[in-house]
Parts: sequence; C-alpha cells; structure tokens
Amino acid sequence: MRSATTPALLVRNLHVTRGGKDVLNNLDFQLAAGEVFALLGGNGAGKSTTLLTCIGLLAPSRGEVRVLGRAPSEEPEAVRASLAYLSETATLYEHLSARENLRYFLDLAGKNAGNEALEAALDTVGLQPAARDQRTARFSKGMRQKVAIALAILRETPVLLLDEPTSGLDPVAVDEFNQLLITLRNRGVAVLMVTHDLYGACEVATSIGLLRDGRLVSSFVADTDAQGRHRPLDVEMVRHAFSARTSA
Amino acid sequence: MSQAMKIAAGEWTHLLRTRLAVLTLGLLFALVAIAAINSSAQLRAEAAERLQYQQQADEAYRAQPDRHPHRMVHYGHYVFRTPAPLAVIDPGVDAFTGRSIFLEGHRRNTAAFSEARETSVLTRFGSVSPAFTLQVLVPLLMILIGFSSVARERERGILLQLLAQGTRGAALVQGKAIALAGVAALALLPLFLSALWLGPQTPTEALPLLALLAGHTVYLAFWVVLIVAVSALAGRARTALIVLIGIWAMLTVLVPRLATDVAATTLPAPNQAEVDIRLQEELRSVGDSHNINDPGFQSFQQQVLAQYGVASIDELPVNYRGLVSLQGEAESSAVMDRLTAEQHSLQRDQAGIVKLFALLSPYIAVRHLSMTSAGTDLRNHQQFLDAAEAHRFALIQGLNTLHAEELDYVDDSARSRDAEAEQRTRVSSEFWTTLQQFDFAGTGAAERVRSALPLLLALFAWLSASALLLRAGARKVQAL
Repeated sequence: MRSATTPALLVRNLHVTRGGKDVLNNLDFQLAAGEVFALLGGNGAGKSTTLLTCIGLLAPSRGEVRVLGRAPSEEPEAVRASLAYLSETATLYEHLSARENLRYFLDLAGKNAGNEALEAALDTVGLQPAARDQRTARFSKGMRQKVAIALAILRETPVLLLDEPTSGLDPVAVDEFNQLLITLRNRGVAVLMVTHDLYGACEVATSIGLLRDGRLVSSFVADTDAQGRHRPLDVEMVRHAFSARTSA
Repeated sequence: MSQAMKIAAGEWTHLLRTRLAVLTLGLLFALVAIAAINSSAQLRAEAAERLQYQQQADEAYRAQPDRHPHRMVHYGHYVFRTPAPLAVIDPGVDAFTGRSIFLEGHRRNTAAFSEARETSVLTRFGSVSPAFTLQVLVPLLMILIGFSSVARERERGILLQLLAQGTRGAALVQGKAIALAGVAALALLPLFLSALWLGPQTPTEALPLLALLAGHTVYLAFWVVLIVAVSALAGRARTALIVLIGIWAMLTVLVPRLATDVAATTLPAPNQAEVDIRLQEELRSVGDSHNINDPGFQSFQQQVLAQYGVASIDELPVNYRGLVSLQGEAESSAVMDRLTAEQHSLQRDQAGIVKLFALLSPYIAVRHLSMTSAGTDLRNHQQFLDAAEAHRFALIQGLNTLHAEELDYVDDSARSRDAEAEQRTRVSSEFWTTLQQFDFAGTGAAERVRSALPLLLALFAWLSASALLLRAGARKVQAL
C-alpha cells in the first residue's frame, strides 16, 4: 500500500549477481516524486543492471527494490504499469509513424488517449507536426526520444527510467532533452537516469551518485532555493570529488 | 482485445508494410492458388482423357471381327484408372505409377504411362500439387516471413521496451504465433476453397477431405509454433533463420531420404531383372498351354479324361485345347499372383518402415496422411493392380471358356493347315460386345480415414513438442 511518505523508488541494500559475479553490491538510494537521480559510472559499473532490476527483469540476490511500495519481483505487472523505460537507442517501430507508435504502445499498455491528449504530449516534447505522421525509420535519436517521452507522458507513469538518454545527441538536442526532463520533474515525475553526461546530470538532477564496481561510492544532493526549487549542481565540484574517488 | 491479439495485429501491420514480406506473402498465396487451379485443370483433363481412351479401347475391342478366341486373348485390352476425386489435392504415387494397364493372356503386366515418365523435369516442377506446395514450399516461405518475428525485436531493443511497460513474454510469442498463423491460413485458403467446391460434388469423400484438411492444418500449425519458438530462443534473427532453414532441410529432405534408404536396406527388394528371371523360372514349371502335349499338362490330361470318363481327348464333349488354355492360365496366374503378392507385401512393409519415420519428421506424417486420405497411396495403387488383374483373369478365362465350349477340337487342331477348319474356329464377334466394364473404386472412405488417424496423432505430437519449445521461448523472452 502506498502512503504519502512512500518513496517513488526505493533501492535498499541491493545485491545482484549475474553469471556468478556480483554486479551490484549493497546499493542504496531512494527517490521521491519530482526528484531526478543521476547515476554515473563507467562501463560495467552496474548502471544498466540497476535499471533492469527496478523493472523486475533481473531479480535481486539480496536486498530490495520498491517502486511506489511494490517489489518488481513480486508484482511485476503492477510495477511496470507505473513506470516508463527509455532505452539508450530509444527504439520505436520503424514501419509506424510517431502517432502510430504512440497509439500501439499505449494500446499494449492498456491505456486510451484521445487525439487531443496525443497532440498535447507531442507538443510538450516538441516534435514538429510535420514529422508526426512520418514513419520513424528516418527519425534522429533525438526525435525518437521525444516520441518515447511523449509515451511516458501519455501513460502518466509516476516513475521514469532513462538509460544513457543523451549519448549520441547533438548539443541542441541535449539541451532540448534536459529542458524536457526539467518539465517532467516539475510535474512530479520521479526520474532515475543512468548516464555518462556529467554536465547534463548536474543541470537536471536533484541528486547524483557515482557507481563503481556495483557500489555507490559517492553522492551529491542539489541545494534548493527559498521556493524549494533545486539549484543545478556544481559540475567542477562533482567532477573533482568523483576524480578523487576514482583515483582512490 | 487481448494483448496477444494486439501484438498479432501489430505484426500484420509490419508484414503489410514490409516490401519483402508482402512479396513473400503474395508469392505464397499465388503458389498455392496456382497449384490448386493447375492441379484441378490437369486432373479434369486427365480424367476426360482416360475416359476417352477407355472408351476407345472398349470400342476397338468390341469392333474386332469374328476370330479365334485365343487370338483375342493375345489381342488384349487396355484398362485405365480414373483418378481419385481427392487426387486434385494430392496425386500421391499416381504421378509416378502408371495410369493404364494392358491386359493380355499369360502375362500380368504392370501399370504404364506414368506422368513422371512422360514429362520432363521442368514441366514436372511446373505442375506441383497443392499438397506438395503446402507440405514443402509453404513452410519455407513461412520461415522467410516469420524467422525474425521475435528475434528482430530483441535485436532492435524493442523487446526490452515492451517488457518494461508490462507486455508479457507469453503474450508476445502468442501474438507473433497468431500473426504467423494468419499467414498459414492464407496458404490454406485455396485448400479450404477446394474442399468447399469438392465436398458437394463428392459427398462420400467428406470424411477423408476433413482428415486431409485437419492434417495440413495441424502440420502448418506445427511450423507456425516452431518458427516463433526458434525466433524467441535465438539471440539473433540471422541465427534463427539459419537454424530454421536447417530444420526445414532436415525434416523435408534429409529424414525422408534417410527413411527410404533405411527401408530399402532393411528390406531389400529384388530388381526388375531378378523378378522377371524368377517369374520365368516358375512359369516354366507350369508348361506351355499352347502345346497340349507339354509334359506340364500330362497329369491334367489324365484328370480330364477321368472326369469325363473317356479314353482319349478326341472323345471329350469339349475342346481339350480350350481346357488346357483355361488350366494354363489358372496356373500361370496363380504363380504371378503369388509373386506379385510377395512384391506388394514387401513394398507395404517398406512403406511401413518409412511411416515409422513420422516420429522423426512431421513431413513424413503429413505426406502419408495426405496420400492415404486422398486414396492415392501405395496401397490404393496395389489395389488398382489387383483389381485390373482380377478383370484380366475374368476376361481371359471367359475367352478360354469360349475356346473350350464353342470350338470343335478337330477343327481347332487342324486350323493351321486347313482354311475351312480355320474359318469354323472363328467365333462370332457378338461375343466381344459382352466385354465387362472395368470399375475400380479403391479403398473406402472410412477405411482411409482410419488409416490416416495414427498419422494425425503423430502430427499432434509434433505440434505439442513445438508448443513446449514455444513455452521455453516465452520464458527466454521474459528473462530477456
């Protein structure tokens, strides 16, 4: 049962073993509504494993994961209904247009969205009207991401999981994406993002963690102003701290 | 609409918007439709041709002038086999065995003029039957359409996207299977339409027709499930394609070839020369019925004389030459029947061994089910040969009876040197008009269906096995 104090995403003492190797080791963090947690780390640090465990596609060997109070390993369907996952490649069906992709994925998720809601979501993500009826085969990654985010908006999921969302994007697209993320954050969506992009993470995240060999070795929380709005984290400070941790 | 049905609908949209898939779908439907139309037209033409030839042969026989009955024994007669109604779907062994037999005295000829011998390889390929198309070509085209159904979603990362938003692995593979089943249904459509057309025309064939439809439906369902299962289990679409082509080649080419080789090795059949030599050796012991003094008929002569209570053949009230012809034909036919029965039994045993391989290949199961249901299998062909032989024996013995009862022994003995005697040994041509019609019905519908049932069960076993594989595939999809 979810209460007002139930975190949107809770990861506690999480251990995950894959192929006899400990991939995640005693991982702890939690996210409330309207928070963005950026998980940084090198290749093989366990970032994607964290996401897959939150979705319930990998089972914890110890510890627990709770999405809105529910364990993915116990109630996978309820958990998946409450989260949206955006893969690194933001894959869509190439033979379908942006609108058709949205309708198909929404239909599979058991959601009905009227045309107005659909257009509003596409307006929010900033996909040009001319592109909406085009097949997505020729879409750039940025355009595909916009469609995927529009899907998350339409599904009204309180939790969003992002896997390397800005890799391969040009600077303009990165900026657009970050603004979109801030919009979602302000709407109360809890976002867990694994990324290599320190600058982008500092701009949008309310907290940042460094993952190394499956352990959270360092974390920072952004300050809030008098109105409770999060201030961007200081990139240099975070980089310095992470460099120290990495070389330690 | 269930999740699986939504996925099936999505897969159909994908197929209809993919050029290669549309091309393959079109090819698949065209292939089956052309095979059905071509086979139907060919069979109709063949049935009309055989009927015409039979009428011509009958007329030629009946139009013979007054003759010595033994001349008619050697003149002989042709009988033609009318194709079974369901041969339009599966001509079975008909294409390779002959369709007509020359009936004559002293010999049991086998069927001649098979389609396979009369046509070149190229024209034979052009006349593939609906059954061959459904059993061999359609699974291959279905592989081309369905091999990537699940694997491509895994490769492109959509699988993760779908699972993450709550799509179940089981629903995904079920949906893909339903979509591919639609492709199979498209391939089966001409067969079902043929059934609707054939059913009212041949009500007695309703049950075998149902067995034939059921067999092909279960067989294609097996391929549907197998293709999706392999696509779900394979890490990559290319791997799925290679594995599926390998399975297709093994099930439809290698195992059937192995089956016939094992049958031929386990129960080796003598070649035609060996059969002919053995037949001649055994017939030699019967004696030459053209020569009444042949030592082979000495004891027969004693029996006849004793039966009629006379001292010499001149005193017999019947023509002894005719009696020898009757006896010679009966004895030589008994020898030929025995050897043929041995040969047929060996062929059936070999076919039995091949059928056992239905446990290793569903293609063998559906092929035999199809031929058995259609009445175009080996057993039916053997029954045709036996029926033709029974007809031949009755015809020849009828002529020999005329020889014995209508001809005078003295005239018959002198006819080669006495022109008047020769004239008197000619019987009226009116006798030839009493020629019996040759009718061959083949195995009854109920019996054919009974024989096909174990093969249908074998196909269900294959379908169940592939369903287990699909379950494993669904589990793998769910676990990524």
